[in-house]
Amino acid sequence: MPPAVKKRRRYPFVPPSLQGEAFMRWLKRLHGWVAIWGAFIGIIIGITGITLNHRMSIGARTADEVQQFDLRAPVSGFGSLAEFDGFVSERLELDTPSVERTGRNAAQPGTYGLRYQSAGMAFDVTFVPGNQYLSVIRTDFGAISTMNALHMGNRSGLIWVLVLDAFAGSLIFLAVTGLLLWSRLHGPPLLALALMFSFLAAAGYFGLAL
Amino acid sequence: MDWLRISHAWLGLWGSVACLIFGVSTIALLHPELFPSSEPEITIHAISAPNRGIASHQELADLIALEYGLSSTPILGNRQLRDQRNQPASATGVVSPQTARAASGTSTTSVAQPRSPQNYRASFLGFHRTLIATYVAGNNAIEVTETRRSLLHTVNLLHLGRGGSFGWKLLGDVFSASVILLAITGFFLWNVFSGPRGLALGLFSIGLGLAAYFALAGV
Repeated sequence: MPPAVKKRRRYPFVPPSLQGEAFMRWLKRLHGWVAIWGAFIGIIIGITGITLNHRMSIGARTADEVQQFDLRAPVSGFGSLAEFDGFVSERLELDTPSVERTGRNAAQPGTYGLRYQSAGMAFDVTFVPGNQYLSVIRTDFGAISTMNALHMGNRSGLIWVLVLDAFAGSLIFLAVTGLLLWSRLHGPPLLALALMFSFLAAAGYFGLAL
Repeated sequence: MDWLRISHAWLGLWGSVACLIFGVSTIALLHPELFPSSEPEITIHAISAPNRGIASHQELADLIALEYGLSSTPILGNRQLRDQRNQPASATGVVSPQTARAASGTSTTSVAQPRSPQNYRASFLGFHRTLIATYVAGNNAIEVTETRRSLLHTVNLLHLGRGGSFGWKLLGDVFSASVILLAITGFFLWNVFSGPRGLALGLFSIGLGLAAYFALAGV
């Protein structure tokens, strides 16, 4: 068989005009670069994919650690939520933005309640006017709970959500480029397509059945 | 190295459709405001009950399965009611004589309430469509609440695995494991693809650093 024919058919899912050595090398590199930055996140997402899938039985079995302590409030109290926020951030050395708590305490007029959180820990701070102390509850989330929060983008800021978005985009990109990189050295293309469609069929069956 | 490349390729190909499903739904789940969520469409039908009535949850389920041509396994009865009934009265802890007296006081009022007739319920749960049938003994009709979801909503539920069948749960697990394996085998394939392994390690650490900083050091 002449080598030219063999070469043209090497990548069955790439149009013949694009099968040049340069394009394929470029595609391979791009696939590698996009994959490597997300590899670590992929491991976290993969592990928590299983822990979340079985959250009824595995759940967040690693225990959260909760501590409570009090902080002395300024004598003059707080004039506004922003002032309260500034005071707490400074005293606890926090640099994350707070979210207002809609707990029972916070519903009372003049009572301030704020939560500062990350996937790994949270501070819930409340103040009732007239009190001398702020109440602070510090929660250190267990390892599984922390990783689950990372997976779901819970308790995390905009940047982590963007990282997750980029990861999701990478998954799509890697799926497409991975298919294009499929060569006859890996196996027969028809079998490859059949395998792909078997997943699609399973998703269709479980997702759309009933 | 060859078997590494070949297993990466086969595993990756198998998971590629899952990558698309999970990738698209990740963005839809993280940014619900970008995707005007088409509310699930809920319709309520009444289908006539047999003259002799219905005597069990299973009988109701069989009837509905026949009527709608369903083959999935239904959930029988009302799980919430069943859980309440199964909970022992002393589940809340030690009962003092006062609270016991108070509790018996309230229970006499609940006994005084008229006993409701027997209720039967069968739920067929799916990602795309859910059917919940309820029948109150003595009624002429069975009430069937049907919920249909849009494709995006269905894909989101598939991602969350909520209300899913065992088969889908298994697929989800296998996909999660494949992502881990692909990450590891991909790492070892780095110089086949793109360049020196030191560079890969550097980028890998950046991923680790990003995760640790934004996730854990936030507070």
